[in-house]
Amino acid sequence: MQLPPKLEESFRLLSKGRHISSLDGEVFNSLAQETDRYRAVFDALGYELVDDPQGFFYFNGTRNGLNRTVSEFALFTFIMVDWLSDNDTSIETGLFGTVRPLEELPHLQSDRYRGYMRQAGGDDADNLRRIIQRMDGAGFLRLCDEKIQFLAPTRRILKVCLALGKKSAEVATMPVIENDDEEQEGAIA
Amino acid sequence: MEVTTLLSANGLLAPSPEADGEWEIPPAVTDFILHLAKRQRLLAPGELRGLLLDMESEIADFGRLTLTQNVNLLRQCALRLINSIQRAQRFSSEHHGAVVSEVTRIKIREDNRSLRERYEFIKLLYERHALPMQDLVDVDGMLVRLLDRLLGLISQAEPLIDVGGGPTPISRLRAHVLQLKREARDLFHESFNEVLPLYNALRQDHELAAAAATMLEVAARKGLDAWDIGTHLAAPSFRAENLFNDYGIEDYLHGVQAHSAEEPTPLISLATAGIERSPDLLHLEDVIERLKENAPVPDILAWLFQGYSEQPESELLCAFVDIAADESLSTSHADAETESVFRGVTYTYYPLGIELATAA
Repeated sequence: MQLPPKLEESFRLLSKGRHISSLDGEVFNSLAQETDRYRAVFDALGYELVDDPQGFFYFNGTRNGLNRTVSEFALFTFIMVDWLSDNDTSIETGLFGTVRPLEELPHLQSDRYRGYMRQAGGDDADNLRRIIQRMDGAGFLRLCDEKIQFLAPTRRILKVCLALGKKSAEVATMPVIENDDEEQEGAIA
Repeated sequence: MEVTTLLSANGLLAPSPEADGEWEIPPAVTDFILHLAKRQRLLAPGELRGLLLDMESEIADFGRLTLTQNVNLLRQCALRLINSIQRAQRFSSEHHGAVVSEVTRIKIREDNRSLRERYEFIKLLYERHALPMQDLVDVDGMLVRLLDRLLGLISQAEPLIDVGGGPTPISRLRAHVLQLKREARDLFHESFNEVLPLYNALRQDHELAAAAATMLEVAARKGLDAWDIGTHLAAPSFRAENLFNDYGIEDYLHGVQAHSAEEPTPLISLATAGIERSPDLLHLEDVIERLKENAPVPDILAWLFQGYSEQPESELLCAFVDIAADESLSTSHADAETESVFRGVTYTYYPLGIELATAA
């Protein structure tokens, strides 16, 4: 059996939680060309390689210890979507068709967004940069010359946003039944 | 005051019903001015439907007059229908122009609306204008049904006022009906096709924006953990032992690399018990070589019967003939007859023998 050519590099990236898209060059091309071979080896190692139809690869992992990190990624993206819906012509173009300087990001520019950011470690520039760098590492966006560009894997976050947002809105519109039980707090999912 | 009186006398101004001393421009004049200014406006679905209901009534009159063969009234009715059809044509043309204009303004971002406002507008355009219009002009829509019915009546009315092939109100009416039928369908479908993709794109954006706003609102009330987003956006948890420099995995992968699958056992082999084995093929060269090694052989046929007893006699006899004809062998026949028995058959012959390995 011949192992795929970029096995070591792709495993190193994917196992760290990186989403590999066309920006990753040869690794992405190799994964795209020999997906089945990669999948067979990763399956043997206990990892599930996901070939997302939107044009990226990732390991479907467990939630252990990373819930907080992905929540921060999601928060960063949701704020961006919310801001674009009021200030740009199209979310699609605003996210994926625009390279945006860090100083133009909306996350620290209003009290409301700062309030959200405080839940993700702080409403200061250092924390914002920390989140951006981690998203860069995970392949959701590209940070270059103090500018960011969202990449295809962000669509995974948007998909989850749509699903959870819809579900949450449905729950919010359901009639409330009064009872003596303590109000249930918890997950929206 | 004189100007107002003059305009009012000519029907260009009308007293406002809302207050004394106020005037307003009659709708017909407004339409005319808009037409001169080449400004299109969106047509309310009710406008076309109202016009079609008027036409329906006139078409019923047209049918009755055709039956009673009242030619003068039929001419007047045809002229009224032409007028209605021209109005419908103008409506559809203006509506199409207005839709294209609005869509273009949105596409080139000239409308200065936020995403939410833009979605609300395109939603209104789609649901209040495009869809009802589509219903009217579809194949089985009200407009098409009316026009088809009118065309049928025109065919019956035409002979009544035929003036030898010249244009008549009826023939003009037919031309207008056909033109409206063609143009209305094309224009409304074109408008619909302009609106639909934009509506879909903006709806997706709007749904996403609404979902993001909901999620942010949940975060504001209950915190980020309330999302439980890790369940839906699970990432692999990184551990050092996942790396390839972990010897266990490295060994495993090398084992996988070195693995070669064993050839499967054949379902049946030559040595399988109970299965009769076919004899090996008889190669003449090998037989001659062996014959030379065994020379001198006084009776080659008997030698063949004895040495290749597993072969069929036909093979052996062929080999015998070939050997006899082989000039490289020094063979000769004996003078006396002899007999050999092979598989129950007795062969009587003058034996062919070989003295030397090669011919002299």
